[in-house]
Amino acid sequence: MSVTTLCSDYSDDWNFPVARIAEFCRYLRENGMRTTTRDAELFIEVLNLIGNGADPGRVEQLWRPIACSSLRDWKIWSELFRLFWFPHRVKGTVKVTGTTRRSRQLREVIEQAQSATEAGPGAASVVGDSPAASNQDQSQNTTQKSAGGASVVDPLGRDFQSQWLPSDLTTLERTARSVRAQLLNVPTRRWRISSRGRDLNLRKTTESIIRLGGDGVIPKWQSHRRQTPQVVMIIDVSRSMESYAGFYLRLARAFSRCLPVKVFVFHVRYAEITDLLVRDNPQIQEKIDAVTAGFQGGTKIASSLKNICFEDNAISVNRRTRVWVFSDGFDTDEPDQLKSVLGRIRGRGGHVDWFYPNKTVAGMSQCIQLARVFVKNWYSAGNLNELETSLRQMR
Amino acid sequence: MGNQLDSTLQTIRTDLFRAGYLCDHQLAGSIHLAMKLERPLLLEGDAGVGKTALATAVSEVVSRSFIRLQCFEGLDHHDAVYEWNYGRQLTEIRLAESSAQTVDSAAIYSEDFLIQKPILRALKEREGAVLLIDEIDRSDEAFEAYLLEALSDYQISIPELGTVKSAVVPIVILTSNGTRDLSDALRRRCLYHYLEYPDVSRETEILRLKVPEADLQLIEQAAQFVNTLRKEDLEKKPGIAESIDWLKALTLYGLQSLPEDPVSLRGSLSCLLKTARDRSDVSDDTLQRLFG
Repeated sequence: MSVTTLCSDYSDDWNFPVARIAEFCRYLRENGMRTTTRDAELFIEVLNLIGNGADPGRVEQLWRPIACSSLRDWKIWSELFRLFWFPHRVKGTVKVTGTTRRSRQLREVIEQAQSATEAGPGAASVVGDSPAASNQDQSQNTTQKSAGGASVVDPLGRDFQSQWLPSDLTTLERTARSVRAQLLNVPTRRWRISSRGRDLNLRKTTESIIRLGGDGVIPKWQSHRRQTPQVVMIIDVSRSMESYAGFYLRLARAFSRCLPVKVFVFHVRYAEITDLLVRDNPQIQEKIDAVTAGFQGGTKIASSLKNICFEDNAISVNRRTRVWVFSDGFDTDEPDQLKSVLGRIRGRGGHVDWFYPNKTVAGMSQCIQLARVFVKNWYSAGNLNELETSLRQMR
Repeated sequence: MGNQLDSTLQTIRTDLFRAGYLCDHQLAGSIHLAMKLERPLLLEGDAGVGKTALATAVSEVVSRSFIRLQCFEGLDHHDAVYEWNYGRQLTEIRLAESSAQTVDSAAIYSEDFLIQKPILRALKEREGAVLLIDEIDRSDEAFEAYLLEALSDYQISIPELGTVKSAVVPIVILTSNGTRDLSDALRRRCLYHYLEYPDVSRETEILRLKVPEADLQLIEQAAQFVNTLRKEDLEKKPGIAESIDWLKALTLYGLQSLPEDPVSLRGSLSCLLKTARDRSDVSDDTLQRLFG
């Protein structure tokens, strides 16, 4: 069965064959939408409803409320619809942001840093670039180490590479599980009426006695309200963080298996990778690795945080939200912008924890110094040992 | 059939306009689908974009009773669905005892002793109803899970009575401000629509509809200003309700157009800027810039 529709915006005629609708649903799922078989049935129902007179613009409009379930879906819908049904009409564009440079594999970077270390202590340089730095700036970067840029030399010195063993992945997962135990279902001071509670709520119980004229009593039980935090991991994958990004992504993967987390990566813009992390197959691992492949300078921490938390509503910020930022703090946004964004998160009751690969917080960039009042905890996370120690202290 | 659909959507838009709500084709399509496919419509969007107003307007258009359930933390099925009238049950037992009759427990747990709360009322409404579940994100996850049965099958289970199924499927509209993420299960059961702030021309139309006594030039300028203000980095962007309030305030001042010196309007900006930070951020210089 196929439905032919007249097309005013797209082309003169168009078919929406039923066989391709299932394919379309799969395509939507691959792009992070949660389209189900029931949705496919509804697509067909809508086509039957529209009949032969409507244009694809109308189909796009009427399928949208069925297919979408979040603001993100709502925003990308039109583009996905066009890309699937009218690929010949979509003109390709190349978007270049930040400084262009040949992207390097993690191994290449580490080898380069290792050779620099072997050449002598004086030759060790900071791999992380300054914000929006170009290759020409590399020579000046030694001075920026003191300003707080993440260095690959430090973790290498602590046998960082050798920690990528299966046993260490187990350690990561064990750490994630212990954090889960610390964070999940923490009882708060507040009470809630619960049939499984063990404490009597005197006010409600007395009310019930009055309501029954003193003839009976309906005991109302209460228990402590338990709070399940929504953890949001926001990982800096800019060039200055390239030697740590892989490590943090592994960590994110370990956490996503045992905690309700949302994971975002950013450099000059952001992307959500939560769905990629929960699936487990080689292709997915390749996709995750590809996320960090385009390391670029010009990190925009404040803008990315603002877009994730407020502009695009990718997450809901409330008092249950724990935002974990993994970054060295190099930001090309205005210095006070980060302070403003973190202040807004705090204003809505969210907590921000900052994981940094640097030596100390004190040496980090100016924007960090301005914003540090809004960060609840600072955790050193230069390598697995440090991270484990830090997470053990997490509350 | 396509033309028929177009005319249906146009009718929805016209009817909603008569009910005091201006909607675009996309929203009309979502409402039409919600009614045709008998699925709940989940509306998301910033506060003040007209999510709640849409539900009242729809109820007016379809001439069904409007039932509203305001969600809050700790809301449970006793507040939302039903509760037994224990007082009446007890009286019934006492009366039976005094006349030496046996009390039939089935009679005690009948519909006569049931206090119907919004969801049950909406399901049992003979003519059908428009049920607004407002700010669903403020309720707990447990309540959200409880809603699933009601929203997917339009029925609820009462242990003492059995399953109550709706005679006429109500039009269900859920709204969320995004203070917490809703579960996938709930989202999957709903049609979704994201309401954005209107553009200048649509906001002008809305303001004309809502404040007809205002001068047209003032309306256009106010719509333009509010639209520009929303592009600023504000904690709480002004919604349509705020625009209407501001325009009413300007009309009360007797203005027919915005004055040359925007600083003189600073007092009225309390209608638009609702946080201390926003008020301090919008300085006189910013005002001058926004007024162009």
